[in-house]
Amino acid sequence: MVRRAFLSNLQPFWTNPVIVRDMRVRMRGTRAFWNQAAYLGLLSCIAVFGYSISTKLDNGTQIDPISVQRQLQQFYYFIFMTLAGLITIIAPALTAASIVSERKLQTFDLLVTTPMTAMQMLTGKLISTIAFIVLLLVLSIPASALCIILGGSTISDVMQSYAILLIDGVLLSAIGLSFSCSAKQHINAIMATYGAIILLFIVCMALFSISAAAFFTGGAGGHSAGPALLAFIDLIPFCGAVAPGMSVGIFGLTIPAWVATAIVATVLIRLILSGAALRLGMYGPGLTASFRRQILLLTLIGLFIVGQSLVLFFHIPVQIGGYTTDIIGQITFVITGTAVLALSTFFLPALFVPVADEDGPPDQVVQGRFNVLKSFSADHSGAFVYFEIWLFVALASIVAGIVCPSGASLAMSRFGGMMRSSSSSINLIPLVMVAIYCYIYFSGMGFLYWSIARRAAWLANSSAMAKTISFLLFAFIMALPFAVLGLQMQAMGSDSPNPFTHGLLRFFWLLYPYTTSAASHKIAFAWSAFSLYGAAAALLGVVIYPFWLNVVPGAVGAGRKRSKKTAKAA
Amino acid sequence: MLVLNNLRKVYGTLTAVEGTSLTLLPGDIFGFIGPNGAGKTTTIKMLATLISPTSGTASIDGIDVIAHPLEVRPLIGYMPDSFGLYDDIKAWEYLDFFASAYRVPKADRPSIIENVLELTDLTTKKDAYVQTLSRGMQQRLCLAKCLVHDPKVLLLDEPASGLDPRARVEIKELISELGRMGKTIIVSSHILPELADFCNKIGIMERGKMLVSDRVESIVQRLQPSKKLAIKALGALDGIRLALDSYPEVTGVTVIDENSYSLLIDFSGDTTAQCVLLRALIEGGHQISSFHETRMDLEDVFLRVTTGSVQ
Repeated sequence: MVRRAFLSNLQPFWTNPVIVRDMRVRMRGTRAFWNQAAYLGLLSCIAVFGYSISTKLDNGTQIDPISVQRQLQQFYYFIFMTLAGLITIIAPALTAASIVSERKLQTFDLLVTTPMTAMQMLTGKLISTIAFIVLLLVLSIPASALCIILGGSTISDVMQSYAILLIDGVLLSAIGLSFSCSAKQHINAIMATYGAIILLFIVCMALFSISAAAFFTGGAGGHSAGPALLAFIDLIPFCGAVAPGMSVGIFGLTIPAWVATAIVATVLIRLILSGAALRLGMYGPGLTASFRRQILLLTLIGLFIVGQSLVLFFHIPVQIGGYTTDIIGQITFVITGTAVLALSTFFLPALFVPVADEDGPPDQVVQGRFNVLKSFSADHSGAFVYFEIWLFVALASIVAGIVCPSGASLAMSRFGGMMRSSSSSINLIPLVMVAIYCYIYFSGMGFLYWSIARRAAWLANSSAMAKTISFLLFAFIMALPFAVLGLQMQAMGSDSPNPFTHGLLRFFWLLYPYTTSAASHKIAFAWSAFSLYGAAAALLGVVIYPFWLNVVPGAVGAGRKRSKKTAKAA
Repeated sequence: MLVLNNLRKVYGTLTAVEGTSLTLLPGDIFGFIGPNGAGKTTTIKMLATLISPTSGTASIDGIDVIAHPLEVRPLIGYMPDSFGLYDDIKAWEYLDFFASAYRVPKADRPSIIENVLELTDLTTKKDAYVQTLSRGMQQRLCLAKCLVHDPKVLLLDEPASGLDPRARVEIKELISELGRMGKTIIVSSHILPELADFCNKIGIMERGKMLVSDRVESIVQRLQPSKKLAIKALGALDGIRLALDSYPEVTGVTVIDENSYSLLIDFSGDTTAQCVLLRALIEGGHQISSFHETRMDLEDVFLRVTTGSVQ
């Protein structure tokens, strides 16, 4: 049963109509054969040419083994630079043309009227392009094999170079696909794509330079591997393909740079595809205004979190007379923390309500039953909202780990609470755990707010009423900690502090997004508590959310009046 | 099956479609007539979930088109006026692609493709590349594409445009056949005779306004209170014209052709009066070779209701 559910979720990937058609067409007829033959011929010529210029071997002269090795390595560079060039030029051009071609051929409307989703269409295009990139790379094996045979490189280096080329190829294709969705002409899409790629290369170069400078001048702090930011250089095929064997350190772990590159590239690709899917506007008759607003606001919040994290990660506490002053950290945290708190209190619940009444019933409620898997779908009713928050937090954590392995958990701990202690008293916890805690907490909280809004929409007759109810419910939850704080004050007034109210206070404080573990100095404990409360919030959300009522809580007032569709189904 | 209620689409200051309402039942073939730029395509696109209306509602099989586009899409087969075919793809692969996009189970696809190819008379072209097909065949292939998921509603925007007379007849027969199969069909055209034969309901649109929309007979009846009778005689018409003058039901006489002795008269009387007139003419010694009621065709209806301001 579980297996079947799992398979049916994967199924779209191998029965995706776009992949099947693109594969059929691309390899058709003799033209594909001649193209591949020409490509191989070209590669052979380049290999011969490269060999002749990189190894200037005269028959008469004696040459020492070291310079032979160096020259053969240059040959290896030459081959992979050529491949990198081909990938950089071909991969984005293939996808940049794809959606524009559909529009030009006037097949786009036909596709939109099918039940295929935008994401399905985009992944189809991307996967069929990946298949083509793989073909190009596989065809180049004879040329790259020369490097191994002649001794210019090792098998593992060549494999890593290929892995990096493939990852970069996919990322560049995704960028092309994204511009293809909004452009009207082929040429515009292709120009914009190459422009964006050049920009990406510049940013990667900059990040690489910063971290390389820090690494080599500032002292590596006992790390044998470079900071993970170095891995950004691998996003540039020209650099990545010729720098195999590099490894980076994240939290004391030494991992191959291409793995870090793959992680960064995956996050980027996912973001790019989501953006492209939104631009295609196939989630319905255009995007609903409320969904648009929601995405805009959440993106702002996400950027805000990332920005704040970056400020925290990059600042260095100053030591004055034995005291560690942490002014920047404190100020940043207090200001941003307060702002986010205010923002979430007033805007978060209101954000979810319009979705409930304008955009119809959520997809994850199928005939009154909640489908967890669907909550991951990127649509107005899916968990996209908190998925995005999570994505930003995860991204921030990754960046944190990359930039400053030891500072990351310090900063993440500030994230959780206003820590005034110096870093020595903090129990460092693995970054991956931080990410998991963050995910559970934010998704739990997101779900809680969301269910409050849904419940309000279900109860109310009008949008304004729903917003009011939602706000009141939310304000009640927000006020709870203060009520408990009062209790605690009373308890503190007496001589024997009450452990029960103390615990209760901690629990309710955690209902605020962003302020957690305020009372705890034991970070590891605080973070696990963080996730625990996230889970509790999700449970609370389940209780509040009206899905068990076997009524699709779609439009405002659905609790009173069944929607036409539900009535018909009944 | 298909209900439009006050559907409206405004682009800036231009009103493309103005408050259109319509109700169609299964088996209805609705002819959507209007000059180019009248708003036919916009209306059809709104139904096909491609553009969202500014106001108003539309529902197909009880499902709101605007609120649940993803659920409506499997119910409709949409054929745009200018449609695309992929290059380097065979006819059956084209259909297979759309069948899979419409989530038709893989096992059922071969038989469905056979069926729709047979229905559209393209069985022999199954393995032909789509770009090698003639325009008429491509048109039929696009129609076949609309049928792979067995939709309840077909939205055909100018299905017969650019076809030679023979291909035109073929596609018309095909559409009538689909109507008999119980599908609700909307066919648009700016050429009237195309729709006259097989539509049971028509709507005439001009400048975004639906001027009339009803059954063909009722529109004709409404627009033509008096009948037109065509009379052909052997010999001079003067006598007949004199005789006709004495009948109050005859409101007007037009000589169509003096040489072939044919007349067209406006006649306000009923069928009995018509018989009386014919008998009187024959008994009066006039040599009548033909006497029949002419039916006002859609072309006349169109000219009468539109002002011709958009062309």
